[in-house]
Amino acid sequence: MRECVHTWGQRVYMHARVMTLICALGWVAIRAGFAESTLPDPVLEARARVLFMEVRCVVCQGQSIADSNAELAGEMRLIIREQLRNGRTDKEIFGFLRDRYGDFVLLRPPLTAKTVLLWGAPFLVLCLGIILVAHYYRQLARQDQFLSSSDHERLQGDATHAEKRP
Amino acid sequence: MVHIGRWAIYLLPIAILITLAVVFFIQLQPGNRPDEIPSALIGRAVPDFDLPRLRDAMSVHAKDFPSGPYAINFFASWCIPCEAEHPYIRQIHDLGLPVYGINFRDQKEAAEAWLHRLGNPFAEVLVDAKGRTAIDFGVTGIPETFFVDAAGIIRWRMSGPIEAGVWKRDLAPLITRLKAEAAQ
Repeated sequence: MRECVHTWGQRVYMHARVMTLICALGWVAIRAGFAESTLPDPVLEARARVLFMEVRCVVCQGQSIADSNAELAGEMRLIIREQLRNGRTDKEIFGFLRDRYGDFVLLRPPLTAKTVLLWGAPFLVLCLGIILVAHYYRQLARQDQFLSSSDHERLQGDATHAEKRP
Repeated sequence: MVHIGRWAIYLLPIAILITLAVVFFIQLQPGNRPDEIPSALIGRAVPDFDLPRLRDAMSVHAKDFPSGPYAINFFASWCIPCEAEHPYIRQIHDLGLPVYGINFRDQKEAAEAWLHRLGNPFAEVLVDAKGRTAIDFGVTGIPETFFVDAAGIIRWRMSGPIEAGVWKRDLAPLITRLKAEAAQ
């Protein structure tokens, strides 16, 4: 019986093809396992994806429902897709969620009287910091003015003295 | 103008940090944490729903509940904290406030076995198989318990299992108050 002899290079090539196939199948299998039924209309589905990024997962509160694996996030995604299919606007969908969960459910809270402090706080703190630092440095500059006239002369004298030296 | 020494520039952030640390420390003490997200439904009417009863699948709406204050408790057989708070649900019932259970994303047999094992303090158990009604209530997890007054207005939302501190400080007085209001 003739032995099937492959070179080292051929064997690597064969293994690489098999591994690629396994990885591809694995990827498809995992995606299928996590797949949700997306909307058939690609425009609506794109709108859905954008909306998902804007809604907070109330279970894992740091994530959007786009990222979250929580069941509640999945349910919210389902509801948003349904509402998009029923022709709701983004504003109506956000209103639906805010009605039940409050403004906190939106990752970008709307600018209302209550949240104006939230939005403005970083700028306020920055301005405060700038004012403090400017004040401090202006103080330093003012202290320089309090050098006596004799100190000034000495400064001047040292300078001319230095120039005269060969 | 205020003289700001060199030290102030360094001390101010540290002072802010220490203040925040103290505030956070106080807020994180057990018993001092209110709802993680305050319920958007406080002060509003109970959202309408249409859920089947656990025992016979008959359809029940919010308006079908007998008049008077009551509590709604979202629970499931797979939910360990729900089992932990079960004695307090019994206490709500013992204080004379009807509790309606909403079985959240559960199996009928599992729910019935759970109730049989622990005892059924609910005036009625409704089934929210998909969790849609929970979303209408703004539920973020289970258990959650809503306290509704005689006018059908939600007065309080307990997020998470009821435990001794909250019961003594907030819930028992609340139940007494709701019943007193209804008696007038």
